[in-house]
Amino acid sequence: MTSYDLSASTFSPDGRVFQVEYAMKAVENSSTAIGIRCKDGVVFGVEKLVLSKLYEQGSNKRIFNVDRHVGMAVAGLLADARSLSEVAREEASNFRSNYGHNIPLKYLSERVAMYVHAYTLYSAVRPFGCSFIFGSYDQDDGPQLYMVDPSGISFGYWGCAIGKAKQAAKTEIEKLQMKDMTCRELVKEVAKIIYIVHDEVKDKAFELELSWVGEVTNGKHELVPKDIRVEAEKYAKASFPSSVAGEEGNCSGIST
Amino acid sequence: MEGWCWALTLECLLGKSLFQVLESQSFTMNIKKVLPQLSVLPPPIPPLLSIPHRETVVNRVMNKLSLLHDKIYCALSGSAADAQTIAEMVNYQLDVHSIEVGEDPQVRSAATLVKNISYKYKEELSAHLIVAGWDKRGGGQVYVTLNGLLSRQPFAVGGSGSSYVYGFVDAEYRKAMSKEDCQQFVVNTLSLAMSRDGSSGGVAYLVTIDEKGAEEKCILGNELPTFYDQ
Repeated sequence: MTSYDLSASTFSPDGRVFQVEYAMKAVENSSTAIGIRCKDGVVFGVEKLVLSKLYEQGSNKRIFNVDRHVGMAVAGLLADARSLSEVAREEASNFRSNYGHNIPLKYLSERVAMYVHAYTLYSAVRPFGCSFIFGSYDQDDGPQLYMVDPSGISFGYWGCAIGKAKQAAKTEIEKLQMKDMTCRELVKEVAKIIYIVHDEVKDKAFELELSWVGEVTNGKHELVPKDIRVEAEKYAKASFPSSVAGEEGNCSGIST
Repeated sequence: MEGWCWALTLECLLGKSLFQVLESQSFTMNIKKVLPQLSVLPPPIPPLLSIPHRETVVNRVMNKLSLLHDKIYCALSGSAADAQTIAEMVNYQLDVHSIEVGEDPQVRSAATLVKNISYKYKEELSAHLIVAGWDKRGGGQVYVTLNGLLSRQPFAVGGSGSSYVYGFVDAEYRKAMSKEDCQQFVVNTLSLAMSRDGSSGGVAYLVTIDEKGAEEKCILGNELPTFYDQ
């Protein structure tokens, strides 16, 4: 084990690249983010842990706009994620400039994955310690959801979760019939899943970041409007009573 | 027919270097169509005048419709060398692009690629390409890229003979024509332009593109429809 994990340019005897696996551990230390694709759009939900009461509400956003029609939710080292969001933005912008139309999401996620992968090849740099979920909606292609992880692979999904509670979140997501749901119904379910997987004991306060892109927003990725978010949170809190009592005051929504 | 024979003799007499594009082609698609592309270069210079660096070659039967992708063609006009080179470059870029994206390229992509080259090198180049084709999102589309602009139109004309037929196409164009009506309209326009323009003549090339693919046709001079003057 020793000395095979010092750089990304070394394989271990059993064929693993430890640096990449450590990068994935960094993602697992971060709080959960989920993305679900439904009949007419994609909804993102992020459990944003609030480490201090002194933070301004809505700071350290974990959902980014990559292009008008593409959104990106991240988990892992936020600084790495920010610089990759710039990479994604440049890719989308160059594509539009060269080819005259919106970048297809599959292509964008492959390009970003290629970039992330490049940092897993050399000893001079470290891999990126973040995963992202890309989502978009297009009139012809419909809703699309892709995830990129630190090893540089990208897959398309109907629903996926990253971060510390990803297993629990995946179980909840699998219970949903997302192919038959609309965005409005899904927003409430996403909020509920985040509330379910949030660990009250270990992490106290959190903000729920919700965003969507779909027919309901005319193909534009944006944060869910305040009234819909409030309604979703109400539904989420009502759906599972038990241990939330007494902690109500700490769970606040973000300002849009 | 005379035009045909004359073209052959001309090919033997004149020399090489610059290609002068002189015949007309047309290009049709489902509902939208592109109209004749005719040369913008001046008529052949007699051998007695010595022009420093420009030689001309007259070819009345050159096919000015070049393929950018399976269902996207472009019509060339202006300097043949410039136009052909742009078409070749974009053909290559579209090949790579369609494999990367995993599906047939959009006509808009092809037109944007042509426009980017035309605009970037607008001082050095002298060619106008009309890009048209079929894709599953927008159906049949026609784009003009003159001097580096990009504009989608229901139909387009270009080249030296085009100025004689603007009135005709404006008056006779109908929306949602059938394929046969479209082809007839295009052939009529070409024939009128070829008869009036001194730099045009020869044969007419026609390409029809729809979701099944592209179909090329060549109509000889004596098979073109005749009008008042002919």
